[in-house]
Parts: sequence; C-alpha cells; structure tokens
Amino acid sequence: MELFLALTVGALFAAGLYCLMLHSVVRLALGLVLLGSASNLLLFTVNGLQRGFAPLVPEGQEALTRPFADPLPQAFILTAIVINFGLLALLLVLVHRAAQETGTDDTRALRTELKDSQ
Amino acid sequence: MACWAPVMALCIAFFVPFIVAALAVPITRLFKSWAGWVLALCPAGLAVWFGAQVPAGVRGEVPSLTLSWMPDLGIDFALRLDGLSLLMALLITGLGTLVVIYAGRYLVHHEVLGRFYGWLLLFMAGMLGIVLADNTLLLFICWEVTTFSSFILIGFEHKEDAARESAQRALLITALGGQSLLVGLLLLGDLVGTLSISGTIAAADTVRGSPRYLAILLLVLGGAFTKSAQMPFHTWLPGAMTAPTPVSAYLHSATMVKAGVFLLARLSPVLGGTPSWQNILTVVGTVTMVLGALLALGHTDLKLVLAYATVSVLGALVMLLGQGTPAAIQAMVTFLTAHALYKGTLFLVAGSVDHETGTRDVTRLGGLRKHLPMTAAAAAAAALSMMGLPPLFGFVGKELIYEACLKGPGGWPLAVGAMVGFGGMVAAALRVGVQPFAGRTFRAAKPESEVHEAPPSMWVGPALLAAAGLVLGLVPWAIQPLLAMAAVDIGGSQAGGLELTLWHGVTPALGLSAGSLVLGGGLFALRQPVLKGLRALNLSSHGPEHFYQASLSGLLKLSSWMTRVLQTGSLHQYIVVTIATFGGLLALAVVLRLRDWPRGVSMDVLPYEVVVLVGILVSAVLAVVSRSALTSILALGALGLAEALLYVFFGAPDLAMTQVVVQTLTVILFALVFARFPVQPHEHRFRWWTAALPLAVGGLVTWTLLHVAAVPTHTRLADFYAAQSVPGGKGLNIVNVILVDFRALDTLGETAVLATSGLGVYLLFRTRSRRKKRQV
Repeated sequence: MELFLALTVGALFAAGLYCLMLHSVVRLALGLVLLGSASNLLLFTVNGLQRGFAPLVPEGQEALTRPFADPLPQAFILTAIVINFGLLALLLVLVHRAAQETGTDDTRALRTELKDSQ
Repeated sequence: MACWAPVMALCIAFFVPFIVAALAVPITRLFKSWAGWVLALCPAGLAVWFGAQVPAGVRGEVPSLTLSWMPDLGIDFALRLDGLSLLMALLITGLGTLVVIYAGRYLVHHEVLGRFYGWLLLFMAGMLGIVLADNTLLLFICWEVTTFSSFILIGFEHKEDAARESAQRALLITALGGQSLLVGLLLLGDLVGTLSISGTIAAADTVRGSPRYLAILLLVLGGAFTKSAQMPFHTWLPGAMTAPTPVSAYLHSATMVKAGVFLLARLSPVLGGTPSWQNILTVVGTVTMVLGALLALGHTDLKLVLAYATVSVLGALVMLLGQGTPAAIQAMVTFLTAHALYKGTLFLVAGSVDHETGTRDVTRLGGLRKHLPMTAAAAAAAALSMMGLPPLFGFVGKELIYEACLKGPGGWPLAVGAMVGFGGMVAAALRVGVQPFAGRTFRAAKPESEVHEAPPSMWVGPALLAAAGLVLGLVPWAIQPLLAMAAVDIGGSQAGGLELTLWHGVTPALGLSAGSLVLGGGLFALRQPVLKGLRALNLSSHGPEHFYQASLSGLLKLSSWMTRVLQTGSLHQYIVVTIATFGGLLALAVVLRLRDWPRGVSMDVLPYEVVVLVGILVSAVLAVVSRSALTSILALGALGLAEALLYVFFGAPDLAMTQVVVQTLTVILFALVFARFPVQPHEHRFRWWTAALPLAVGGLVTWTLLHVAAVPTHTRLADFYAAQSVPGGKGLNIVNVILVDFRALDTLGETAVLATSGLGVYLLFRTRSRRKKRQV
C-alpha cells in the first residue's frame, strides 16, 4: 500500500505546486489545499501503515498492546489540518477583499492595482 | 601555591572595571567636571594592586583560579596572573588612570562624556580580561569586547561621516580577524583537548607535530595581525584616528593594538619556534616596520604620523617574536614597555596641542614651547625616547633590538631593516615631538596670544609618562625583574637572564643606532621633498587600501544585485524560486544518497483502497485542469472525503472526523467567496511547460518517500505513548491525550494561531471597501 500512497502523494504535490505557479490567487488557494492534503498523506505514509487498529486503549486496560497505528503522526496531522484551515480562511478572505477593491484576482494585475491605490 | 587572598583579589580585579563601566554615566552626572578624577580611582587602585603583586611574582608565585562556567563545553572562568599578564596589566591600568584623568578635561564640554567613560572603561575591562584569561574562549570573549568598544569609540563623533566610515572599517577588519582567531582557537582546543591556556602550553609538542599546525597558526595569525595592524591589514589604524585623542593614545597605540602582539607572545610557547612561525612573523613584521615608518613621513597631521609610527613599532614587535631567540624576546618586552610610555605621551601631547591651538597640522605649528612649557617638556622627553637617544628608556629598548637582530637568525640584513625602520621613526619623532615646539612659525586657527598651557589634568599625564621613560632609562634595573618575568613566560627560562643597562659600550648596535639617527635626521631635513614624493606616489590609494575599498563596494554591489534579482516583487517568481530550490535540494539528496531503486516497500493493496486512491487522483486532476472554478471546488471536496476514507481504513478515526468537518468548511468558504466574488476567476488553460517543474518535484517526493518508508521505523515513541496514555494522561484515546496532555503547549500555540486567523478574517470582513466609500 505504501507504494501506491507514495505515488498518490507525488501526484498531489505536483497538482498543488502547479496551482501555485498560476497567476490566479484563487487557484493559488486551491493549490494550498492540495499541498496540505499531500503533506498530511506524506506524514501518514512515512512511518508505515497499519490497517485498522486505531490507537485507542480498550476500556478498563492500562496500556495498549501491539498492533496499533502509530498515534504520533496522527497527532501531527490533526494539528496540520486545523492550521491549514486557519491559513486558508485568512487567505480566502484576503483574496476576496483584494478582488473587491481591484476587480481582479490576477497576481500581476493585483500588484499594480494595489500600488496605485496607495 | 598562592594563598586565597590574591586569588580573590584577582577575581575582583577582573570584575571591578566592568562594574565601574556600567556605573560611569551616573558617576559622571554626579561629579560633573571632577568625574575624570573620581573614575580614575578605579584604574589607579588596580594599578597599585597589580604593582603590589610584583614582589610575589618575582618570588615565583602565580595566582590563578578556575571556576566552572560551561563545563560541557570546556569553557571555564579561568584567570592567571603570570609575569606577562602582570606587565600588561600594569601598562593597561597605569596608562588607563592617566588617560581617564586627561579625558575628563579634554572632553569636558562633551554632551555624553559619561557614555564615553563607560565605553573607555569597558574597553579597559576587556583588555584586562585578555591579559588575565587562562581560557582561550574567555580570552576571545574579552577580545571581542575590546573590538566592539573600539568600534564605538572610533565612531564616537558619530555625526561625522569620516568617523562612521573609520569605525566601520575598523570593525570589519578586526571582527573578521576575530572570527579567524575563534576558529583557530577552537581547532587548537580540539587538538589538545582543553581550552585552558596553561594546559595548551603544556601540550605544545602535540600541537607543533600535528598536521593541523599550519592551519591553526594561520588562523590565529589572522586574528593577531588584524588586531595589531600588520600589513596588509593596517589600514584601519590610521582611520581610527578619528576617535577622540585620549582613545588614540590608549587604545590605538598603547594597549589594544598590542593585544595581537600579546596573543602571539602568549601562544609563542605553543605555536612558536617552527620555521613557518619564524618566516611569517619576521617577514610580515619587518615589512610592516619599514613601510609603516615610511608612510609616517607622508603625513603632516600629528596623529596620522603617530599612527603610522605605531604601525611600524607593532611590526618591530612581531618581527622580534618571529625571531624568537631569548635576546629577541627580552628586546620585545622592553621595547613594548618603552613604546607604551613614549607613544602614550606623544598622543596626549598631540591632543593638548590640538586642544589649545585648534590644529594638528604640523606645518602650521611652531614655537609652542613658550606657550605650553610643560607639554613641550614632556613632548621633548618622549620624542628623545622615540628616537632612541640616551638616557631615555627607548634607547635601552632599541639597543636590545639591534643586538637581538645581529645575534638572531635574521643577522645583518634584519638589523639593517630595523635601522631603516628606526630612521623613519626618528624623523617622525622630530616631526611630532620637536617641530611644533621649536622655531617660530605659527599659523594656527587661533591667534598666538590666545594660546596658553593646557590645564594640569591635561599635562600631568604626559609629564608622568615622559618622566617614567626618563627614570627607567637612568635606572633600568628597577623594572628589570618585571620584564624578566614576562620574558620567561614567553620564551622559557633561558629568556630570563635579562640585564638592562643604559650603556653597552661601543658595539655594532651603537653603530646601527648612530646610522638610524643620521638617516632619520636626513629624512627630517629633507622633509619637504620626502613629503611631496610620498604624496605623489599616493601609496594609500593602492594596495590594501584599494583592495579594502574595492571589496567593500563589490559587496554592496553584489547585495544590491541580489536584491534586484531575488526581490522583484513578483509573487509568481518567488513561488517558482521556492519550488525550484525545494526540488533542487531534493534532487541533490536523491543523486547523492538515494540513487538505488527503492526496495522493501509494501505493495499489497485491497480493491476498495484502489477505488479510493483513484478517486483522489481523479479529483486532483479535475481540480487542476478544470476551467470552471466551481468544478475545481467540488473536486476539492471529493478529494477531502476520499482522504478521510483513507484515514478510516488505516486506524485514524480522529483524523477522518476532523478531515470531513474541515473539508466541508473549506468548500463552504470557497463557495461563499465565489458567490460574492465580483469577477470570474482568472481564465486558465492547462499548459504542459508550466507543469514540468511541479511534475518533476512530485516525482522526487515520491522517490524520496519510497526510500524513507522502506526504513524500519523506531517504535520507541509509539510504545511510550501506548504505555503512558492511561497512567500519565488519564485518557483512552492516545491521539487526544498527545494533543491535550503530552504536547499541550503545541496545541495552545495552535489555538493562538487559529484565534489570530479568525480575528483577521473578522476584521477583513468588517472593514468597508474603499470603492464602496467612493461611491457614497
């Protein structure tokens, strides 16, 4: 499974980076979401995968015994998902406001427009 | 061994100047024009204490202490007061006393005199630290203290362009040298396994036999030569003359510039005695001595003449250390002392002349002996010492140098080189110490009737120093034990048999002395053509000076070119550069380390997993290539849900839940923005050439991931959390326990980020559009 996930992660990276290279700020935001997914899946894959066996200690027991999925990458990814969302929300609102002011979402045009309005 | 009292006092002597430096501003505010005398009590008291240690030192007692400071790094707070330290400490505190008193009057009307004292005393603290330290890194820290305080003091009149430029140059050159020194000292410490200087000296044979020896030597020399203004690093010293004159007298002739010489002397038992040491130091020292003396003749500003003469003397000291014979070491310590006395005097005299007449240009000065009798007397005595005439202490030192050259490996050629250097110094001495006071010519800024003797606090310093030069010339045996101690610490016990006498009889050395006097007299008599000739050659705009200017402007050009190229303001370009850098680093790792085909990656896959993966890929492609923004957004939502399914399959229910919630919110947010969007998003068509770079980086990521995933993972952390979640965190869901308990601080930070982002979103929605306002 790691093989196929690794290929997927590479594809998602390529897709996200491609969006970043476009001149549209909306596409750029899209690219950031794709990159976020790509990174999260990378973290998920890198330490090896385990089908089932969520890291939950059964009720009444003191410790969890193998096999179980590694909880640490999951904690990281959970944090990353939420932070990604915070970033995206701010970016989207910023894009929205900039477009309201200037009537465009093209980074080249935005630059000249915002310079002029200063 | 020494009893505890001197050791405690030594520790206090190290810290007192730092404390007084910190208190200098309030003390100056409190005592106003008497502040100089009050603050001078600190160096004076230290000088008395150091003086009182001389008898014990002669008996062979060496107070030392080692306090553990950063034991893991081998950095101790270690002090040691041997003969060499004692000699230097006496010079530093003795001269410091006189300079502080002098400065109190010289800068009496300066608005930030207190700050000046603070920096001056901080410098003194650092300088004392250098000579007392018995740990190379403690020495280095103090070394940098002097570099920095020197930078501030050179640029003290910071409203003047020249002062700022000179300060910058001094800092660049000496701080670069300091970095070189640091690397050298660390290499040395690594080699001998200790940073203790006495420990390093004990392991001298290991160092000299090591293949690293040459690298260590060159790096240490880089520090010492820049600090002691050896050619070709000397250009900062004449520039440093923009500092107030007390600073020039103290830092840039008597003490700080000798730090490099001191360091070489201190490490000479470790690094000295090899052919490379001997050759480099002798050649650099001799060239510096001769060229410095010549350059001194090309100037008419009193301070510049003295600065180049100082460069020349520093060259002579380095040359003597390079010779390394017992006679050369003895000559070095004697001449170092003599020079500190006479050069300190002459700088202070130059300051007094400037203060009273308003000019330092020697061609506009003359006949001042009538107006400044005490200053003139001090100047005359110091100039005679500088010329090396009996019965002054300078004569004693100079004779020893000639004898050391003749007896040492350098022989006659070196002695003749020294004679030329001293010839230049004789001419410089006549120019600075005699010409302004003799004759009649007077064309200063002030009318002659207004010129009068400097106040006592400004002539007492030069007078005492000059008197010391005279007394030591007459009774040189008085300082002989101290100098002998210092010589032993540099050159070993055979350097101890120092005998200072004023009269050596008619020897070849006396002949060389006479030769240098004749040469110097001739150069002085022919000063006009010499000056013109040197000015026509315009030496200062070639060589090191030119190199310094060119490299500085080159650096500025490079930096503005880089700014132009990298900081274009185009977001697109920044992104491309970032992606390319990321890809380049990955490619480097792949080419260097991960060339093999990845093996050991699990390839088993279940049918429903394939369906989900295909779903992810299709959504991603759709999101990218679709022309319609709405399709892209919907594809993004599908992708997020497929990702959540993966998390469900592989034991991460928390991730799946979060992902579903967040992805839903994301899609809603996108949709909201588009709904209120005034324009259609930028039209775009998929272009293969734009996709080339992202595809390459994606491929590299996959390749690297396959390699990394094949590495068997450590389970230590996972096992720890599995075992500790219930007893330590009182929770059954390990992921949750990690987030809110084991790594709670991270989660707190994350919450802060989200709150900030939320606040930003709220404010952006609240602010009204300017366009709308305009319409209203």
